[in-house]
Amino acid sequence: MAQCLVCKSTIEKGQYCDAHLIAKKNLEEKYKDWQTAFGKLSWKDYLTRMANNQDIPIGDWAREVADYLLKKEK
Amino acid sequence: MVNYLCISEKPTAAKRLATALDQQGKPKKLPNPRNLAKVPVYECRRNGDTIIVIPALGHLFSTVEDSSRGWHYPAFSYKWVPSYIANPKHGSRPFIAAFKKYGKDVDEVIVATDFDLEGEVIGASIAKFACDRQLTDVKRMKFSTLTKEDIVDSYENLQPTVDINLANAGFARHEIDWLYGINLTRALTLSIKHSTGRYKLVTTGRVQGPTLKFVADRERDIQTFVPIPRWVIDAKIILEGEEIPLEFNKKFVPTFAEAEKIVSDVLDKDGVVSKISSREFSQNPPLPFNLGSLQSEAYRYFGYSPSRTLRAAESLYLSALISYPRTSSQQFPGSINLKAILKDLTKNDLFKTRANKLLTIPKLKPTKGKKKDPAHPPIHPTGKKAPASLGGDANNIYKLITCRFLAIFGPPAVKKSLRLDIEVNKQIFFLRGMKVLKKGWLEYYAPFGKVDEIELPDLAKGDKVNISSIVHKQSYTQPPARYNPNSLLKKMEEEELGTKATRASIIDILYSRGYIEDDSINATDLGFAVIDTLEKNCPDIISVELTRNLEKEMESITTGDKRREIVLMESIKQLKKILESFYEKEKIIGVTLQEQVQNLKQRQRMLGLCPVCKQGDLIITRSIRTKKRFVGCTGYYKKLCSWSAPIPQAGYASPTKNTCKHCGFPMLTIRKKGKRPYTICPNWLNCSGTPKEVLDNYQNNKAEALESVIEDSEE
Repeated sequence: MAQCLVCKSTIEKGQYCDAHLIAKKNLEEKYKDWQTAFGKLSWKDYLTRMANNQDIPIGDWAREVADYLLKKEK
Repeated sequence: MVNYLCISEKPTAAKRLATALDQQGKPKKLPNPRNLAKVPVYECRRNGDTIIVIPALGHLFSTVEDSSRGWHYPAFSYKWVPSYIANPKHGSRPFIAAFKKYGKDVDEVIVATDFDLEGEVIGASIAKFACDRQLTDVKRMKFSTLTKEDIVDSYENLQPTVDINLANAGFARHEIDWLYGINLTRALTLSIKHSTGRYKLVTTGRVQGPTLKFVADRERDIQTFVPIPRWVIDAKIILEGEEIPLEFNKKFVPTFAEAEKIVSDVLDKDGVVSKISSREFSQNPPLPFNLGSLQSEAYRYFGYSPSRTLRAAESLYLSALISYPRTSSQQFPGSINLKAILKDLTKNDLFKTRANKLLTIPKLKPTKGKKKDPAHPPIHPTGKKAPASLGGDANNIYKLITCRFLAIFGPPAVKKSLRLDIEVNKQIFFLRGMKVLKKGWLEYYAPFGKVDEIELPDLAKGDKVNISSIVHKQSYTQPPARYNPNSLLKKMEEEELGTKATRASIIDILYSRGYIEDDSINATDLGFAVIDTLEKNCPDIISVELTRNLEKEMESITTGDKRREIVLMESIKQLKKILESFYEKEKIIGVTLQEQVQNLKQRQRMLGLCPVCKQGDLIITRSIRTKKRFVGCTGYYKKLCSWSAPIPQAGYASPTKNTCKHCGFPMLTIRKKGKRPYTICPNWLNCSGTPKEVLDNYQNNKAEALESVIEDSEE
């Protein structure tokens, strides 16, 4: 048994629970759209916006993943 | 001379039936012995015959397990018993006794309950179990309104038997719902008990599971949603001193660079009116109300939940003000005298003018939808004058139904949409206008269906306009909207889950079981835990397709295509398969379910990374010694960090997603019943953002001081 890196819940295998895994996939997929929209945007800047900008209507689970990945980057 | 016993569904309906059936309009209320004192029994005389009218109290008989094995699954043996045996609090005992007493002496039994699935089961079960009659010998009164005319007409044209197919379909539905509910609930609950030794009642049902899945799936989409940025061009012009907003040709601009270019193209430039166009179109009158569209419209105009609308509609039906509301029909049969109803409505001041105007139309033709219901017509007023005392929900719903009834006869409304294009340096902006040319049916539907007319400014092609401001504003794609009780009901209808009579109550059950919450429906942690576990281990329990197929099977009993016994056997076979696969994984399911509940509890306690040691997490926990609640670092268990702080003891504490702007600690919210929730920093003792008076008031380690100060500042 393992623990989800984000919420510490018990999982059978892997690094993320189902909810945070979907959220992570969504974050990665949408990064391209954000790069297109702004012309240039680093992964770190993207995560910073996602984790900290309260005006962005991102889902709570996706924000938790962004926050975790950002801390990991740092 | 014949003696009849007439079974009514409710006491209110029984009184109305008795008054209509008695030739003098004065039925005799028979004195009853003490054990039947609560049951109103009416005796009516008609054409030399005697009719005894007795009400039921909803279902007087229900299913219970026919076994003494205790709490186990699978449980497939059941029997029909009086409801007071299944539930000792059910007040059915005197009613059953009354039916037994009067039922044995009469020549004929007539079922006069509502003509639908539930009504047929109520009547058929009383005739069969209390009056000891064969269903083929039981007569049926079939009516769609409780007006005297309809009641007398249905009595004089008695159906030779009850609708046996409908009754069988109703019996089968009760039995199948009971089998699924009891077995699935026991399986879930016992899985936790057998694998962890803990008792936690987890309930589900045949339609409940798939409905909860809709909500959980939607919530998952919302919580994992990542938006895409986009820009809106916000431009204004000034005309006669008034600032008017313009719409840009594209609703959203996908890139920042494009948005910048548009603004720089337009900035400080004048615009020219390049085109003025208009389009006339007609809008047909709405369709007659069935239950679904009435519930939808009542939610739109009054914010009523589907079950609230149904309650109000049922009370109007029992007062004989409207027709039977549990209908899916959108087509009026030729047998209903619509002109007579309109004539009756002219006696009501509120509808007088409109009804009179409609009566001048030589050939009245109501609109007609696709949906048919052989049992009942669309919901319509009976024409009977509403009492002045009619108020609240019933009054609103009555007005809505009557206005809709008037509107379905109206001519189409004719509207004109206008568009004025303004070109600025090759960029196109526009203004929209709307005018109602002919009110048509809208006049009859008022105050509902109101259209806001928008006039265009007095400009002609080639006129110059000054762009007073232009900016781009960032926006984002939005997550899908949560279901509300009305949209969830519509979703169930689309997916063919449940029946028109049961859908609203299934949503209510999900609320009462704590699986969903709020008007903007959100799956609770418990709701998620159940769906997550079942999705992984026993998806059949929450399968929409399986449930829908079962609905179709039950429908086939109503149409006479399948026998009740066959459908029952097939559904038991299917349930057995589900339970076998469940049993194989019982241990895993039990452990997972318990873990999910534990994980969710853990999530509810976890605030975030400890800013002091940066290794452990801050959690809301309790002292083993004092049992008091505080926030501490999980690093304490590894002897890495000893940071901790007291927090208020009263109320429900949960993490927020925010960190304190003064010290960076993850914050928490305290919710207390009847009070506004407030957010605090767990580091409040050392945080520069804590008001001085909190620290001054802080005595004897009581963090409650935070509450009073925060409340004051909020006021």
